[in-house]
Amino acid sequence: MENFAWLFHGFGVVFSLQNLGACLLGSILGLIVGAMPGIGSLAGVALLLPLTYKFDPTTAIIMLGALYYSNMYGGAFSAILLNIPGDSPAVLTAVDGYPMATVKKRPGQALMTANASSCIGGIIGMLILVILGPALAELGLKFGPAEMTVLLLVAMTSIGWLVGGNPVQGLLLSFIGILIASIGMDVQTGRPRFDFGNIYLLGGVECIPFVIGTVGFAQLMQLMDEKDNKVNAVTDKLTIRGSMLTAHDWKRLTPPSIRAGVMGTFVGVLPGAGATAASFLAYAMQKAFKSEEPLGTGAIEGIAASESANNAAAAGSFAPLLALGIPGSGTGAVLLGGLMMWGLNPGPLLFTNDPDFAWGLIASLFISNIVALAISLGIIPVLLKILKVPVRVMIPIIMIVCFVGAYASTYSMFGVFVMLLAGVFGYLFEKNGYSTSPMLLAFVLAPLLEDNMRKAFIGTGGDISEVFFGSGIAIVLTTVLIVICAFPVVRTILTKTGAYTPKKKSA
Amino acid sequence: MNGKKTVKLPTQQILPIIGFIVGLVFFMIGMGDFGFWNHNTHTPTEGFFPIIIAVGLMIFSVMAFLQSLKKKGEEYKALNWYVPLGFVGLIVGVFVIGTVPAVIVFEILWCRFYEKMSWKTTIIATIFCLIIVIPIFTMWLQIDFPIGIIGNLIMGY
Repeated sequence: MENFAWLFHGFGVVFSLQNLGACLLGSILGLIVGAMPGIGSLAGVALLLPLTYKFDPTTAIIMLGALYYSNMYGGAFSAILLNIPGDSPAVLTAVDGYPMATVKKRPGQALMTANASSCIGGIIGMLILVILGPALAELGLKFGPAEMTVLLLVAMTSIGWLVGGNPVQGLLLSFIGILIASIGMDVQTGRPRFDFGNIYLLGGVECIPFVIGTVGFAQLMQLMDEKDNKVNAVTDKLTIRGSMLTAHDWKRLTPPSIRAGVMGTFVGVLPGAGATAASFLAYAMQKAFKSEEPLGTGAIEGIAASESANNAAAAGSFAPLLALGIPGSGTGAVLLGGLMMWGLNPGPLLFTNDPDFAWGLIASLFISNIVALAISLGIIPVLLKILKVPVRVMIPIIMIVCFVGAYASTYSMFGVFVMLLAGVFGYLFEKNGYSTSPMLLAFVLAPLLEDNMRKAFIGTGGDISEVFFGSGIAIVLTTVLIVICAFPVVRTILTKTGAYTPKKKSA
Repeated sequence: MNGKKTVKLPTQQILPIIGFIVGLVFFMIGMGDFGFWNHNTHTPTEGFFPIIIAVGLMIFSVMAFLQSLKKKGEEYKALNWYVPLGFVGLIVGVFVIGTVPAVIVFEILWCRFYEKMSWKTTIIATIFCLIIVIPIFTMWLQIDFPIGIIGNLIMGY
């Protein structure tokens, strides 16, 4: 109950004109970015990070939280109306959303189903976050440098293994991210290192230009492939009144939304899993339950499961981010980078040292949920016009955003060059099947890992067994680390010996 | 300009090689300049962590390289490279004529002459960009963007 009292305190923090304005702005921008096919929450948050310079940390993170969260709403719009998911978590929304809009001629109801189930999933995720966040933080208080070292290794390794499908490539990029982060002042002694005689590198590689380049600029290069694509948009006129759901529709969407909401939250808490995995798992889970129509033919249950799960996962991912300072995804890593930029260190002490910030952010997620729902309903009549803005118009505009964002974060053209270089390499890596999310996560977490690792080795006099097996928590985490590392190796050996046959992915 | 022109490059192999070189450079500098462990105080040095990571990077680069040997080269379209190319043009423009004029020229060249958009769309896109640069970043966030060589001459800097 104490947590809910703090939540109400958080609402008190959020209810200022500035914070509500930031929440509204973040929700609108998140919806637009989410709806635009091909941009996604990661690039959206990265590109809009410089806009928050003027805000105080609480307001800034409220805006980014709202942006990330409402992005999940926006992703469904283009999935349903254009059959192009705005973001990967909305892939399965398109499977049922587009047939419902075109074959069943119920585009408004498909959108309304997505909005309603997103709201339900989000609320479930946030309620679990209210309970889970402080509990995780309490557990985190028991962590010393050794435990934190192993925990950070688990987070980095699991994301390296899980994201992108090729663990070797994931870890390669994670290590590159860590080495880039080690350029500049040493975390403990302050001695310059790896600056290659360049004065601009003395302060290290700035987070924002690096992130904007790796995800935003690289995405732009990829978008060039899609700039001339024709879209098969829904042709029916959309109105709010014509989009209302019947009582029967509500009866169909509520149970899958609740189930997917609970499951999605816990998937969101896991590092590397995220909103996309949550929506895929929820959709698979829905297949085990009764649906009025077969999934894939425009079933309300399919849209509800996918949308509820991805919103719940977005809320759930804030639990490890706030309580342990460990982001569960690339977008979480960018948010963490933003927090560090404002001098905040998320972790077990955040809830006790800075409750205004922690609970203000959680409360703002509830408000963002309602604001995003209201805006999603309000823009239904003009949605098709927004979605039909051609990619080829957006490309030069986003290039300007990349330029001003990178310049503004460093006050020098050096930031722009870093952004350009990171963008070109980000594109090359993505083009060759590497996912850049592990690199971003490693880049953001590297100073924390190095600091804890060195403290752990100083504390144990260099005894490696004491670091990894010195306490109960460390033993459990080390076991998890070994399992994560060994699993793909064991699977490969079993596959090669014929003892295990991997399931083929269905289309 | 035919942006559809493609070229096949063995980047599947090149990227792990770059990874290995990066690892090697950090390993050499780490060992040479900072060392790994201070045996007098029994504490890790500034090179401790980067050296471990550099060794890991070299190992995974070799593994990624071996995996990549089965793969064929990746096809690259010239089209995708117009983005960094255009961006370099924008940077040059910023150095010479300053940020605001460079943004205007860039938008007009890209939208009107490369994408063959109508003047109406070009002007709307340009105004949108100027709103981002002037009211949001310059006035609200108080970022002083470069005014370029010509701007500096005019201002007498």
